[in-house]
Amino acid sequence: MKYEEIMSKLSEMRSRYNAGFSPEDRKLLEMLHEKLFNKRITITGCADCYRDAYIIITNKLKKLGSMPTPSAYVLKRGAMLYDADNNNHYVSDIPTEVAERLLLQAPERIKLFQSYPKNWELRLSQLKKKLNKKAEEAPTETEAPVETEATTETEAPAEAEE
Amino acid sequence: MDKQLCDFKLAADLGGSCESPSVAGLMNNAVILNFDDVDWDAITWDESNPNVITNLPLKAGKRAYAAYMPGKTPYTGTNKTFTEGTYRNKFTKTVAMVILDNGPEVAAHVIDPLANGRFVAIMENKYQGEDHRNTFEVYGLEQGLSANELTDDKYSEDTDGGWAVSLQEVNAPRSGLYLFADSVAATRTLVENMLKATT
Repeated sequence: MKYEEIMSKLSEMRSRYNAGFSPEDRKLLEMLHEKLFNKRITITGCADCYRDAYIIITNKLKKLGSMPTPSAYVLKRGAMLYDADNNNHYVSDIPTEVAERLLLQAPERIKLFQSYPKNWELRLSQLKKKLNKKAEEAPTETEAPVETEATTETEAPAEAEE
Repeated sequence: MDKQLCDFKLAADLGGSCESPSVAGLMNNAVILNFDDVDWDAITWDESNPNVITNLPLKAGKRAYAAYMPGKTPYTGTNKTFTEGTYRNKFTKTVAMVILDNGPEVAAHVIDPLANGRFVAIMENKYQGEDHRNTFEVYGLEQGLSANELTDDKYSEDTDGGWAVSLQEVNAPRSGLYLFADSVAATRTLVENMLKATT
């Protein structure tokens, strides 16, 4: 569904906010909640969880102004990747930059993805070249200056002769 | 491929933790998935323990389903027992539940498939273990869980007009398989993600 259609449907649902949403309304809210927040609506701990979901979904969509663009890399359900650089665990959508960095570390992780660009291997080799180039261009560490003056030891005072 | 010789020797002390004592029982929420929906080639295991799964991916487009049982002792009857084999001994694992629902949708989409399919269940133990790796236990991953009881007793006080279900995995080589991805929170997110209806 397009953004305009969804916003129109949500606006139409407003009239049922107090009376109660229909099963079709709830299905739409469940779908949108998963798409926007990557998790199901929790149906415990709230007086009317679908009404709460309606509010946060509507606000989120108004803020975004469009439907979120799905990532090129999507993990299979039941798969998770950990990004040590950002200390983040990813399920489902994973940002392209993160996915390609993690795949570069271990290309066999591709089996955990259910969708990815067809040219992912080419993209990885390009990323590898880019990173190698960056590493070569990075300024080398300046060496610690060599000390030119030798430290002199102070001579022990001669013992006075008796 | 080099053949391995299994020596089956004890490798740890027997006994429990004084700081984190064992607690009986299961949590109210569980997850059930179709055995054939598992992406077998993509499963990853903990390198330090062959009984710990770190990723349990499903085939593209497939999902798991939530099970919920209210009450203080949900899934009563869930157990694992030793069975003697000819060359190697194994385990029979049973997952018992009550489905507090009935009707054509339940019959078509739940009971009929349960009657004839094979399944994997992820149960949440009340006792997480000292390292929390005991939290999510997987049943049916080796041989599949198949129904050995499906009863609809209209006057049963236990099922309130619903179904008593028992799923069993026989001849499982390993006594316990656990799902753990770095932390309980991360694993919970992983399990929750398996239930998503949309891709």
